[in-house]
Amino acid sequence: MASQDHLGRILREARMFSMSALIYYLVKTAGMQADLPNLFVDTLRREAAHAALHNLLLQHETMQILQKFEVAAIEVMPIKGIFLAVEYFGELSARSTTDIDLVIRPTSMSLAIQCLEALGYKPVPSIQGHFHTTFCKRNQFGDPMIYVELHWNVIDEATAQVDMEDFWRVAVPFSEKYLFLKKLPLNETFYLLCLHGISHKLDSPRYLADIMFFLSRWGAKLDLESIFALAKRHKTYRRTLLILNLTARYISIPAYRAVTVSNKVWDEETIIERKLEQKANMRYYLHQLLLPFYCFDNGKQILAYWYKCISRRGEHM
Amino acid sequence: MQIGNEDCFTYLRSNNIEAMQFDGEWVLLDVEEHKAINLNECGGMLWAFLDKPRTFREMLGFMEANYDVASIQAEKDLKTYIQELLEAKVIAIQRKSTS
Repeated sequence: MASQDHLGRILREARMFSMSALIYYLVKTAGMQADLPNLFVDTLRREAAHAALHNLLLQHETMQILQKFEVAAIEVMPIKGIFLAVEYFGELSARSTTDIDLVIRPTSMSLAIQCLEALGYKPVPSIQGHFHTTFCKRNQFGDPMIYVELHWNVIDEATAQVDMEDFWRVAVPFSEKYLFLKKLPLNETFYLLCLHGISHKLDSPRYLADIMFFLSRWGAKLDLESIFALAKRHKTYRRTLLILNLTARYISIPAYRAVTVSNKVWDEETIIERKLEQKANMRYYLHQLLLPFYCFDNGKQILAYWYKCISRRGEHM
Repeated sequence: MQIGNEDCFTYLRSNNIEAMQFDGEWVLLDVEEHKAINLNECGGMLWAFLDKPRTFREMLGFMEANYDVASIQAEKDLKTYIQELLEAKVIAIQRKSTS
């Protein structure tokens, strides 16, 4: 049995990193409720229920937007969010979601913006260098606001050469009801999850937790060789390797052999402590300084990243 | 409106409701009234049964098959419950199509 202190820390970190829903889902599906203190399970359950309700609201908003896009003949691929929860995590309440992420073609942007504005969304000033534009709307149920991100790419174009056609080409209609709503196959969904985590510098354990959960459930069906081939084309190979390398510290990954990218610089405790204590130590800064050298495929990407940092053009890698 | 055995009416889920199951319980979100509603076990079963429009008689048959109650009591309970769900605007009533 884990100590009270340990369980208290789990609750604190779960709340801080929006992981209560996933942890509760894991506890529940493993049938561990009876083995844990009631207060611990009840606290997780309450937070998971709150996240589930927000997901339900986001599901409603997402469907409103997608129906409007369908009528306007806008091709769209929802990524992450509620679709990830329902399709790959098992149920809507299994993973908390903060916003609605939609990939559209750049040529559809102005029409998509009209659709969002017709639904009451307003633009949020975005940082130059982002690969998406953000809109928000007041949440009639209270906090937080409802955010929609319209992506024309999935990672900063300065530090990768992602060809979005590689995704559009393999995307399939979401169901018979839709002509323009598309979904990505398993491999590409996983690849995007990796890119998403690394673009946020893995600054929350949530990113690795998502990837571990995904691998534990779908790992046997993933074709890692084709994912690596895609990553090489997109010049995101080393960051994809790094993600798998870090994940392999915790779980065994089918059809995966240890790779050569060093991960010595990576330290989850440093990241977590920095968030919990709201202050950074030397090790955190060292981590931030060295991470690009382990992530990027070439010097040009590193220079682009440093230029971005110096000119304060966003936080994404 | 008097709730009863008339087969000319059907009951259906309201359009303004989003629903999900959490820990086996149905949680509803009224997106027009901006409120969340938790259904009890019986309400949840009825909600699940209303995956398509149903007549009172169909709902009563479902209740009797799933609850060990006398027919008269089941009818009385069902009427009360439908009334509550209608008042909460969780379900709606419509005249059955004759086509």
